[in-house]
Amino acid sequence: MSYTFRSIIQGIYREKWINILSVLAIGSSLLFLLITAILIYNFHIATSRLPELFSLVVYLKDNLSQEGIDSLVKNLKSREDVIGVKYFSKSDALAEFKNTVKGAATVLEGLDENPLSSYIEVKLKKDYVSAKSVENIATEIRKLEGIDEVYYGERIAETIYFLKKSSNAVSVFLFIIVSVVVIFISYSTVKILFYRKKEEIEILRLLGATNTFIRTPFIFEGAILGILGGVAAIFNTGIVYLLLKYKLGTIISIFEKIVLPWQIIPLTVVISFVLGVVGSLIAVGRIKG
Amino acid sequence: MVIFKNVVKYYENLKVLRDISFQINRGELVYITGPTGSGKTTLLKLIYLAEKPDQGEIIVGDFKVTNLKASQIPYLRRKIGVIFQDFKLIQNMTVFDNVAISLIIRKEKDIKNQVLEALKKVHLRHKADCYPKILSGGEQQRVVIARAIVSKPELILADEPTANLDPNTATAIMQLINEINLQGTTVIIATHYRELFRNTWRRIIRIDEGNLIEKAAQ
Repeated sequence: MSYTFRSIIQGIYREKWINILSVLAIGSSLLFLLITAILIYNFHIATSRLPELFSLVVYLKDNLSQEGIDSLVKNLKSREDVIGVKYFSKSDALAEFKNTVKGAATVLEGLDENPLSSYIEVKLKKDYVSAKSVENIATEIRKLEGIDEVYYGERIAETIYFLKKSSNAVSVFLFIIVSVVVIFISYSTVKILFYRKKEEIEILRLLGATNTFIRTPFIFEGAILGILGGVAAIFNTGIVYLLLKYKLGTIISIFEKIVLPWQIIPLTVVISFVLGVVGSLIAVGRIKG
Repeated sequence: MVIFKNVVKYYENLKVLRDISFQINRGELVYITGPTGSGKTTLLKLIYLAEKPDQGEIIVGDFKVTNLKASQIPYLRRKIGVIFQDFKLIQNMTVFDNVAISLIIRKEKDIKNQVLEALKKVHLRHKADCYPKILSGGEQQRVVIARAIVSKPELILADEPTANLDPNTATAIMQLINEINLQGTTVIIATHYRELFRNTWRRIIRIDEGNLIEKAAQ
């Protein structure tokens, strides 16, 4: 058995409590990251359908002729940012209104004529559902002939856009924080292991060992700590996922549809390995030869 | 093999070696003697660069020790076998592994046979699987010798190789070191035990309070 391999096994076994604590700490940090990542992933799936539900309501002037309406519909359909256009006449609008306020039909009593305007519902392509883009489209439509008013849920568009952007920012921020934490844990553990073996290392140096010979086992130890932490995190994430889906899902139905992307498993192992190596490289690099 | 030219060494403000100059030729066995604290161990440490000289020049084999880059120090040390006064054995390694590590560091092959041969020379083959803590002082000293000779270095430095040993063991160890020298290895022994070199025909370098005061071949 090579010295490096045996030294790694001995190092892990001899300092098992420090190593177990490190693995748990790395595992906990990565668990936190993984659960956040899964929630954000599921949030993205959910919000990716929201733009399809979003629409602009273009109210038409009462005196607009049928010819004018047809021309307007044609014009809107030809826009590259529009995916669907639907015209609602004054009577359609009234029927829709009656349907909406079923329980309060008395509101319409005493009205001699239909006070509602005809309108066109415009659905936008997914990529154009952002606060700025929707505002620009609304401004352009307002300039067309026969338009009374363009209504759109500014706040809905803004909220969708904000949530998407902020969830991306949160992911990046958490990834950086957790990476720093994992690197620090790996760094501290390897440094402790290094100091615990100081006497042995001193002897090896006097016998002619190079820095590479001395440091290699520690870098492997850091990598193993990282990988074990990653595996622990994946295992616990699986448990949390099952609890959310099958236990909490029976109470809060939204959790029933939660998805665990399988790609997260190899990705976590690779990331935890890299972070473990980086931490141990910093640790052994900072210890003078 | 070893050349000291006007070497000075300070520990803080204390001058422990003062303008030391000597030359030891290849294949020689030389005693460095002097009272405790005279600078013998420091002198050996300067050879394998556990300490750096403050002034002067040291040459060991092909290495100009004084200007040696940090990355070259391991390669200098691989040319030297050191018998440390305090043994410096790795406690969680067996006797076999303690000797083998010297060869592993040098990336040598056929480690098992070489280690067993070295242990046979110091009469410790039967203790190959033991850990240092269960060995006597004499046995530990012999493990250190086996570790020093196993890689067949050009130079062996022995720092008080018989300290804390009973006379019989000390004699056996000195006999072993002499045999190693007779095979062509340069040996430098630092000791304050006059008994070791009382009747020797070898060269003796005496150091007192950091001064080289005597060079003699009896």
